[in-house]
Formats: sequence, C-alpha cells, structure tokens
Amino acid sequence: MRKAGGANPPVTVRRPKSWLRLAGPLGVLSAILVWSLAAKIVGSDLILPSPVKVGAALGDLLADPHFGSALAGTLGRVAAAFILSLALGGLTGSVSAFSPFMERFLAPILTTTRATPVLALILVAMFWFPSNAVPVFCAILMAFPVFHTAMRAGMAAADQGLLQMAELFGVPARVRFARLRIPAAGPHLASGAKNALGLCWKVVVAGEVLSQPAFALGTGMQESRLSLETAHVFAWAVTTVALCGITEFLLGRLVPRRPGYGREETA
Amino acid sequence: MTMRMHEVRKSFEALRVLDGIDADFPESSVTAILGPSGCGKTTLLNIAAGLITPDSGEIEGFPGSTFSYAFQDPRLLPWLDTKANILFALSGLPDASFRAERADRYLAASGLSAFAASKPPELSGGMRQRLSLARAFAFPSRVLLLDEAFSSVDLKIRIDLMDLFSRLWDEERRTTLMVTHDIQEAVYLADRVLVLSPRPARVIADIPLQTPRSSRLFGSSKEMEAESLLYDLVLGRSGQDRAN
Repeated sequence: MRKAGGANPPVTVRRPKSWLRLAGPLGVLSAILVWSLAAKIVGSDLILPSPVKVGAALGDLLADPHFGSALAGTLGRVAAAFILSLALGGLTGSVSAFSPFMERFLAPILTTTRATPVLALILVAMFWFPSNAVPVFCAILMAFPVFHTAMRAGMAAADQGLLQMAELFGVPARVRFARLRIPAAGPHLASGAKNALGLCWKVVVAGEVLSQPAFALGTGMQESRLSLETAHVFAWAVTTVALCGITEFLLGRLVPRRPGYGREETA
Repeated sequence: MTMRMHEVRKSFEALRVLDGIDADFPESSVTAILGPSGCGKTTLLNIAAGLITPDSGEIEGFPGSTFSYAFQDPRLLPWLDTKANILFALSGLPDASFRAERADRYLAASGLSAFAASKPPELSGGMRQRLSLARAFAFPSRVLLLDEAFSSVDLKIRIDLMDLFSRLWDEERRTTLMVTHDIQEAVYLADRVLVLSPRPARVIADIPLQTPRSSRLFGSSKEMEAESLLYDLVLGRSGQDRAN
C-alpha cells in the first residue's frame, strides 16, 4: 500500500530476545519434570500416573475410533455455546448501553448468573434438558455475562467526537451502529471473546462429565474415572486443554486489531 | 435567504458565554467569526448547527437547514479507508451512485485519489485535514461550518488547505460560517469578519472584505491593512497605540 509522505513515525515493536522465547517451553518442561518426580514419589499410577503413562493413554485415545466423534461432539457444543452467548450477550450489552432501564433490569439476573456455582447449575439443568443440551445451556448462562459486559463497555468506548460528527452528517443509526459503534467495541469484544471461550470449554466439559451425552470428551473422562483409568482421565484433560489452546489461538487470528485503536505496527 | 441571529444568549450554569449576539450570515458567502480563545465561537457555531439550544434570542434560516462540518480535529474513522470515510458521512443520502460520484469527485479535488484505499493512520496530518475538508464539501449541505479547521497544522500546510478550501468553495459557493482565532486565515478566506469580544461574547465589529478571494495574497498591502484593523479590534488597542 502506498504510504503518504510525512505520515506518522513508525512505531517500533520490541521483539523478545531469543532466550526469552525459550521461557515458555522451559516452563512446560519444568512442570513435566516436577510431575514426573511427584509421580515417582507417589509410586501409584492410580493416584498420579507419570507423563509417559499419560502419553501412552493419549496414544490409545487417538487410536480409538470413537475419539473423533467425542471430539466433534464437544467442539460442536463449545461452538454452539460460544456463538449463542455472543449473540445473547451482544444483544443485551448493546441494548443496556442505550437503555438505563434495561441495564437495571438485567443487573440482578447477571449478578445471580455470575454467583451461581456451575455444578449446581448443571445438576438443575439435567432436570430440564436432554443430556446433549445441558452443557450448552450451562455454558451460555456462564459466558453470556462476559459478552454482555464487553459489549456494554465497548459501546460506551465509542469516540464522542466521531459520534457527534456522524450525527451532524445525518448518518443513519444502523450505519452508525455497524460502522462506528461495533468497530469501537472491537477490542473489548475480542478480550471478552477470549475469556468467554475458555469459560465455554470449562463449563461444557464439566457439563458433559455430569450429563453424559453420547459423544463427548467429558463422557470419556467420566467413563475412564469409573473404570479407574487415571492415566486416561489425564489424557482426556490434556486433550481438552490442547483444544482450548488451539481454539483460543485461532480466535486470536480471526479477530484483527483495528487500526486507530493502537497504531499500526511496523517491524 | 440571509440567515440571522438576533439577541442570542447562552450560559452554561453560572458562566455567561454569549451575551446578545446580533449577526447576519448572507447566503453564498463566507463569514469568519473571529475572537479570542474561549470567547464562545464554537458555542455560536453549535447553536447555528442546532447542537446547542440558546437560552434566548431568535434564529432565522438555520433551523431545518442541512449542515456539513469540518473540525479542528479531523474526526475520521481510523478503521475505514479514505473513500469509505467520505461515504460514511454521505450514508444518509438515498442514491448510492450519487454518493459514490460525490466521494470520487471530492477525493480527486483534494488530491487524495491515490490514497482512496489508505486509512487515516497512514496519512499525514495535513492529508487527514484535507480529507476532513473533502468530506465536508462532498456532503451536499446548505451550510458549511468550519471550526478552526486549519489550525492544527503548520503554516505551509495551512496555506495549502486554505487554497483547497477556496477552490472547492468556488464550485458551489455554499453559505459558510468559519470559526477561527487566526486573523490571516479570516482575511484570506472570508467575505466578512465578525469580531467577538472576550466572554461573554458580543459582536464588536462586522468588517466586510472587498478584495475578491482569488486576488488575495498573503503579505499584500490590502490584506495587511485589514489584518492590522482586526488585530486592533481583537487586542482592544487603538490605531494610535499601534503607531506608538
């Protein structure tokens, strides 16, 4: 893209030194080392299996023909919960930004939702919904307040000067919302989305453990626990953490930083 | 139709800002509103635009008009490219091809066609201000309001912007109210200059400028004469003081 002469001076991004990049992998290695030592001291695979045993259990899971279906089932539930909580929280957050009545109306509901223990919610939801829907319902209830707050804050963050300019030029409300309010809320929504995604994973898997849908990581985790295969329980948990990390990474790539909210970076 | 304000007063709580403004704003002319910082020039402009309601007084001609605005801070959407910024301001107009034609025309007129796909953070300060002017002209309003629109850039760029304004203005000759604290700017661009007193503001002088805008030159004797008169009025000194 052609750059204008005399434009803003480039912002220098400090890249981490090469030895700093090793800090993360070193942290992981240290944790595995401590885990290995602890497993050796405990000396019982039933209580704390070693990382090698968990690795072998993970290999078993990957080779199991049902693993793919379990993975797809949980991914589908997380995606459904995430999208529906985004839609619900986005809607209530944007309405609350303009309506003090709605803000006050929703406040006790949000406070109750935030304070409700996840396990209690799952147990109650099991009376109401089929096992497939319980994890999704609970994750929506837990994640939508995150989106609500992010959207509410994002709407309030819109530049007053830009809003006044739009009003003076008679820009229609729907265009103002789509092209000014939503992009201004972008950084808030991106941060909220990352938190909500992690929450969706936790609640969906917890819901699956208790409600036992047919194809689910949580169901596999519970079945392994019931048959005292601790290494397999760990392997299911490792799979969940890895998938959560991958989806968070992909989400980070999908949600770009908006220029103007943090200057464009040049290396 | 001449737009008019009569005995317009405005206070913000205990702070009296405008104290009986009487002024005419003839159609198809540029009226500069000159005064010291904080005297209420922008309040006057906002009253004209209908953004602020005066406490008392009469306003004729402005209500029901359409306005376009150019601000000291260009107020561009940083995530939209140059052309989309203009189209954003035009989005209330019904005809899409008319909007696109206006955007292209004023981008070209302001020398920004090559940067149609660039976003404001990629433009220099002067280019952002040009874009703000192009947007104001692209919007087919009856009244153009400029609020210190040339003051945030250095002298060379300011002169370029003023030349651009003159060129664009000559095409449609829109009724323009231009708030400024810069005497040279007022003398170079306006058909007449209203001088406001310090707050609470009143109109203390209404100076017509006779030289055609296209013949005005920075530093020429006629412009210097008008500037001297305005300096005297703004600084509250007599011609005798200046001679001494």
